[in-house]
Amino acid sequence: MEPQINAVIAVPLDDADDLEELSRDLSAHSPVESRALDGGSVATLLVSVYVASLPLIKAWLIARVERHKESTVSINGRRIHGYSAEDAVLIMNAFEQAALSRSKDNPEDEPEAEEAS
Amino acid sequence: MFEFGLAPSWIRQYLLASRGPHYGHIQYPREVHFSFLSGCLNWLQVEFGMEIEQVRLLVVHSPIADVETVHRDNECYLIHDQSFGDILELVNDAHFTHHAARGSSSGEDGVWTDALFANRFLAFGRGRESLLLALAYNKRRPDRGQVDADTINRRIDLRFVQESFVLAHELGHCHFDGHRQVLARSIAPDFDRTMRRIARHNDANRSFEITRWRITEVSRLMAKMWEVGAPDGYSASAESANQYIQDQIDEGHLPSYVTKTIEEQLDWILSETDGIGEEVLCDYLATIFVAQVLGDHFLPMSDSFVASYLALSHLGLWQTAELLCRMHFAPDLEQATESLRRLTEEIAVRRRFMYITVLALSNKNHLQELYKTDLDGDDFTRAQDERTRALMATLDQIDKVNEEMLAELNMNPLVLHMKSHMAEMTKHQDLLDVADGYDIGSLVGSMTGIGGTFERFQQHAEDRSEVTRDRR
Repeated sequence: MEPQINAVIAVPLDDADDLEELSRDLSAHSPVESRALDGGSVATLLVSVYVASLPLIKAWLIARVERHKESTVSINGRRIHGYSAEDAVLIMNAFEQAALSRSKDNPEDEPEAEEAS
Repeated sequence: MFEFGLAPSWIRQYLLASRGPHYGHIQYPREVHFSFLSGCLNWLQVEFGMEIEQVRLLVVHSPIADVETVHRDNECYLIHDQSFGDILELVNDAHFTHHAARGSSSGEDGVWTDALFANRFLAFGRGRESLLLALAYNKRRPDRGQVDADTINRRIDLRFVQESFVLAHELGHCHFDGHRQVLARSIAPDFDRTMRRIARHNDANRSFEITRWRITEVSRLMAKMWEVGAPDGYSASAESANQYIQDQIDEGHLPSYVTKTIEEQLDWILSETDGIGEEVLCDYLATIFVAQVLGDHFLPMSDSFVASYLALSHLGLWQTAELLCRMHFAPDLEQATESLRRLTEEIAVRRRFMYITVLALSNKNHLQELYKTDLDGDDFTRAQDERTRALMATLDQIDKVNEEMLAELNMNPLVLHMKSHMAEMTKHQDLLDVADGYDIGSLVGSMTGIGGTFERFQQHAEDRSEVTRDRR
């Protein structure tokens, strides 16, 4: 079976509707709110996507760049802030690298579950 | 109060994506954090009758080193990255080195800023810039020689207290009561009671001067930003930037609350529905938590107050590094100027109220009586005995050193001239391959010590877990 890529996509809270739209396109759960130590809150979407879905993300990113909107994508601990077309290319390269790596390593490479309290 | 068990799969996927595949490799027992958080929630229940059940703590360790809060449904997940403690240790070390140099050069020329920026660029996904800075740090990192066990233990204790302060601050941001309330907001009446009379007393008597409006620092930073183009009528110099800020205030474009009286600032903090006001309330709550839950067991309580103030000062440096890094990739002059102004004001106001909080709470009697009687301005004056004056001198000294360190951060030569360094780097394909590779996080972590391995924590942390468990 084709491996899935886990990614976290974040946008400013004011742009949460944009993210809702993407979540519908990708059949993902609704975005959640996360807050960084510097006080900035963002709307965050967790996605698990197949390679076949990458064009959807690419189109969404390009639309954001064209409207000069900031997006942040994290894949495998690598977080890329996207403001420009070059950043969008970086992000898509990271997706492709992750897909390549998952195909090589087999998808069952998640670490052990964390304890929570 | 706590739910122990496995985190849901979505949060594991979230951590895998946001922190990388090694996030679960905890460096020292997480029990120390769980015990502290449990003590905080227990205290809220006893003092305020608040039953907070929706908070879950996740302790991770990754080269990203970010502490964050995620809200989903009715639950609040505090994600505590132990590597943030590595940053605190790095900045503590630089702080005490500066302090020991007493105003003269420490001889290390801000080498610590290379490590901090390496981490921030890494967190932004800029492996090339991060590698450049990490290599520079690794080449010049200070050799502290053999450090005795007592010193190591004291440093770890300091780190734990500061990590606890950061964790408690984030707890203050958690929503509860079905998302309708932010925890720190619920203690606003108490904050008002404690601060109001002190604020009035200070405004009337100017009993201590705590102006923290570092306009020169902002000007210097703005001048740096303006190297790519200054607004019409201004040039890329600190004097011109200073004039710009003054003009903006005069024309009413910058309604700077920093210039208001302390009581006016207090009103503003209490009326603001989010943002800086909430940060101040979280600092207040975190200071109380550290004192009440940790007591004298890690550090003497008076030192814990200083440690919390120091942690807040470090957070200001961390936030500045974060902003400088962000500005590097989003050179929108107007937005960057506004972000910088807001950050400077936030740091100034938070430190001002933290200063007052530490002075007010450091008197043990006040702390014990805090929730039984009002603290008034006269009490505060009486509290200004020799011990309090010594504390004020310590906090002032922290501010002075922090200012020197902020200047080093602003003037990091690699960050200032990043473009030309990056152009040079493109000539070295081997470096580019490493920087663009998957293991760049681990490599930067091992070179900077942020996200590195600290086996020395193991036994010490286990011992300390016992202490905090006993206190619950």
